Amino acid sequence: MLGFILGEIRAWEFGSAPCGWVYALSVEPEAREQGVGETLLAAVIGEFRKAGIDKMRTMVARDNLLTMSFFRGEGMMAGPYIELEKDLT
Amino acid sequence: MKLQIASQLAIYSVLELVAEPNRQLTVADIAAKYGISTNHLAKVMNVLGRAGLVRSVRGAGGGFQFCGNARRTTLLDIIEFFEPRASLGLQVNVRDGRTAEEAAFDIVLREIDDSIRATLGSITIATLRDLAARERSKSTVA
Repeated sequence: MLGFILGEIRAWEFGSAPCGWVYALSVEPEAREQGVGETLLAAVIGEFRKAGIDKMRTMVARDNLLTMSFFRGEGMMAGPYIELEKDLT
Repeated sequence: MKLQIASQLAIYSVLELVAEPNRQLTVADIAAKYGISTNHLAKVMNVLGRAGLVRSVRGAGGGFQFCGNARRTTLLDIIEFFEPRASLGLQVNVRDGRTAEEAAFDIVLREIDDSIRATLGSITIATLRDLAARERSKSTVA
């Protein structure tokens, strides 16, 4: 296996219109720079489109610049939401 | 956040060179397009040259060429050659015995600073070139 991608369509959260979420994407290190990530992303985008979805989102750790750079290279930009969190310990 | 003019010129210049990789562009070519002084731009190109991002080709048809990796060079990589390190950050002075108010406000500024760095550090020259192409096609359609 060279890599995998996981995504789903979420129809209700955050007051958003239905949109496709990519929540996992991984490519084996030795298979990188060969278009595997682009192919996987194109496949999941194809599925989103078939379902009538016209918006896709993902979330990337702020310090994971390599992955963020990949998604930006695919045309993704910051969206209208800001992720907030709270330490509960 | 306000970037130095030199940072902006460096990004525009690199974008111009990446857009036409098989042709050298002179400082005058780029300066004319952006309506800026050739002297100012020459200084910017010198910095980019020392950084190994551009090289000058002498002789007829000579000029500058981009010699970095457009898919790996980020906006932050370029900007950091021109901005005083502190100016990209917004942190208040960290000093011994600072107040809780200073520490609290510092948390807010660090959040902003982290976002700026994440954005500039994840957008490559190739991504910005593609974004410019999309903007160009939008204005053509309009």
